[in-house]
Amino acid sequence: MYKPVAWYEAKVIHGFSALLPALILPAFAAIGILAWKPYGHVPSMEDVLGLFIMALPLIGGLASAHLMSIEREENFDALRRSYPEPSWRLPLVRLAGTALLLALSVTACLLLLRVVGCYYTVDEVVRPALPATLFMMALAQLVNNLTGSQPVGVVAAVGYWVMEMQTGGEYTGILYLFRAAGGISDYTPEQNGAALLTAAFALLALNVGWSIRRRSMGG
Amino acid sequence: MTERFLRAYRLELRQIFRQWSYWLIQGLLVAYIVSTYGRYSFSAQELLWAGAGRNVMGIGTLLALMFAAFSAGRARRNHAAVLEDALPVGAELQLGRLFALMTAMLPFMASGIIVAWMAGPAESFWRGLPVYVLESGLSLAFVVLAVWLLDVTVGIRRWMYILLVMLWLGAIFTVMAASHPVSGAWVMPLNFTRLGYSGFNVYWERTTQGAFPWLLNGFYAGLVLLLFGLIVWAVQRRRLLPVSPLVYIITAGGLLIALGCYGVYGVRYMQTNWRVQFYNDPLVTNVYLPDSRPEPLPYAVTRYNIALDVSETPAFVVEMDVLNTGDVPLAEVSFALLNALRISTASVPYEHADDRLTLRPETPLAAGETLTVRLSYGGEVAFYSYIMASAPEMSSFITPHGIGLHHAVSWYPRVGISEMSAFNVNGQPAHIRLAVTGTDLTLVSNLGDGEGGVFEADDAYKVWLAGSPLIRTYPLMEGVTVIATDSIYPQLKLYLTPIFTQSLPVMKRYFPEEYRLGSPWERWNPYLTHNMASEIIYALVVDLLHADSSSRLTSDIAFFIALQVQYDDADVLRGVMAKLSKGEFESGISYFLFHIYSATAARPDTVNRLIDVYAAHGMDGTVPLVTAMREAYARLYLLPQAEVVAWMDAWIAENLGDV
Repeated sequence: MYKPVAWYEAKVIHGFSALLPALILPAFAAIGILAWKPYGHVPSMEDVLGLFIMALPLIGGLASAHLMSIEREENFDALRRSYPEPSWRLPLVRLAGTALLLALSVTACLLLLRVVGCYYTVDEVVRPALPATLFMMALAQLVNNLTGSQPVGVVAAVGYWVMEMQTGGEYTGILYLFRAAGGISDYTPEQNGAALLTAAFALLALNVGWSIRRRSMGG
Repeated sequence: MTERFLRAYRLELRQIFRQWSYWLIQGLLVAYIVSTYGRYSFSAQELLWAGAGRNVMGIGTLLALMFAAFSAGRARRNHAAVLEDALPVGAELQLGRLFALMTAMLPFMASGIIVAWMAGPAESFWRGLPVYVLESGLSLAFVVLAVWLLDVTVGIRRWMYILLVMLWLGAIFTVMAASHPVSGAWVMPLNFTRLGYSGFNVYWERTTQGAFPWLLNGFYAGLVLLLFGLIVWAVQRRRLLPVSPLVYIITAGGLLIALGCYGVYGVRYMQTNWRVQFYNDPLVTNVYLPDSRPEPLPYAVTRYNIALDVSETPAFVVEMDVLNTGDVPLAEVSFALLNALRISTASVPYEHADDRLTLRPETPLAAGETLTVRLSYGGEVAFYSYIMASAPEMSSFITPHGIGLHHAVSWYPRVGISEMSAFNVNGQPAHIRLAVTGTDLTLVSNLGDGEGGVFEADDAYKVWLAGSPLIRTYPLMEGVTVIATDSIYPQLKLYLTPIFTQSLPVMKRYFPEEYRLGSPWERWNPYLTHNMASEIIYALVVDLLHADSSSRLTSDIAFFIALQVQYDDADVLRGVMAKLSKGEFESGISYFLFHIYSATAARPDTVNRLIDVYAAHGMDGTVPLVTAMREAYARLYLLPQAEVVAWMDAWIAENLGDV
């Protein structure tokens, strides 16, 4: 029973809307190989860490901005809601599917970077970016679910990311997306990471809650 | 046809205005822009042309991309595109929707207009509004048309939202190519978002950028016409309808305008970038700051009499007294003088090459003797400087719209150095007289209040000149004169009055020498961003007594004010200055202030701990601590302030004992 469901969800989740942002990191690494390899340049760990901290949350947000409105945009939302499945499953399965795709994207990027001599581990350069990435994924997914519109989900993800870039966390404080990259703050990166994870789970809970409510309301 | 157009226009407008997300996004954008830019003391024109305006255009283009894709793709999304194509109508249906969408996008500009109106003054607002409306309108129109063309040719699919966002991000990141002399020239104009550097200057607006902004506008105006023509052509052809010759004319005209402006932009960009990056061009050289201040040379200029006529090609006549301050006769004396200025006559034999003027008197200049030299020279002054993420801009120039002559570019013979440098090696101050003719611009100089274009000071180390129709001098209070424009002075006055009321007595104690601070475009101070604080530095002429300053004093005061601006109430800085007053400074106060600023990121607790160390151990204890902090900066930067202080305490305990 699970195999066809997984196959169907994989097809729905891993369309061009998720694949395009997931290609950003491998594409960057590939261009980096062309630019750096001839000169023997090896990007420092700080550079690669900075890349993941800046890019991964945006990629996660973009890849998640369509997940909760697929049924509505394809006009079979009512049918899907009649399936005998728990309401909490859809948001979690779709988040997990996107996370899997991002993991593949990150792996491809790290493997490509090895060509230019970057043997950095996931723990060194990716882990610090994960809380912000999960937060952005949950945020984009929730906005997409609330509005039923992919463009609004996309605008929410990109707008939030740009605002953080421009204001340096002025409005978000402990939830600043790029704290792990350094900067002046009254919070340590660990506190920031914990807050982002908490907020991500809260958004996810809201998303699940909204899905349950939509089903119970029948609308 | 007109009726169908209007009906489609009204229906589409109604569709968009009925979306609650449209109004929510409008509200959020206004709140974000007003809260982010409303608290800074920018003038209305600067807000419209630079920070807020650029941000609104950038975010507006992103929103326009999404809304355009959503609206343009509606028929296809609802499986009605083929049915629509079969309707017995021409392009007017699509154009009605298209114009409705453009109309609906216009309110995205409102946040920039609101924040600018709030900032005022009205004169500045009205001065800036037309260009803002034009440029943001062009950007939004381009985006909407491009997306619409995509729909009427290949069709909008859902995944294209992501593709469009990636294109938007790619357009922003074109700035990464900016400094490359070739690719930058052809990639930079593709940033349709306009997010990023705008090059606005309160004194000269965009004079320093030459024709670049208008070439860019021409490029996008051409593209708008081209896209419009292509959309009509594609719609008519898809419906098997004839295409009017007017459509071909509009399309071809747009293509020509776009290609022409793009080509001229690119070629000029390459020229100026090439000039700045490769030193040998006689018109353009780089100003740079050497690592250490040069030692004074054994000669000095004690009197300059400079006459400048800018009515046609700028012509200079300089008379100067060169004094041998050393103990041995001098067979030659060297000065810096910009290569672009060609000498026509000189009263002594000379050689002028590589920005270096060497005078060789017929008999060596004896110790203590003065030689009077008279030079005539002239040429176009257009001195370009490198600008991060943009085309190079003129930092010193003489144009009909503005004059900016920074002393560092050596537009008059400056003692002793061949490279363009902001530092001064004239061993002693000179009497300088500068007379400017042939212009109606308002002129200001560090030499004091000029009347009839004549400026004169007794003890000046350098001379700079600025001319603009907007520039004015304002007496802020006794001893402090501010150079500003009408648009920024009201805010500048509010901002500066408490600062100088409180700190002038302290500053006088630390800067007892006679000096005058600040040229309006000393942008080389890397510690100030483009906001009102930096404009203050550019704008200030602190005339505590009556004359000029050395470069050292200029940077001292710049750091002083930078620190003062950093703290909201200046209490910490006053504490710093009170504590510093117990000691003497071997390296100058700017050394100390610089390191406070750069090593501690100006956090009050860390600054106070540094001052404690200074009070207890003087510079012998402070310099090693600052050095250690700078070496550990990457790590300290990540820590909260309390942990930085704890790190300092540990270092102090290990290396100095207790404070």
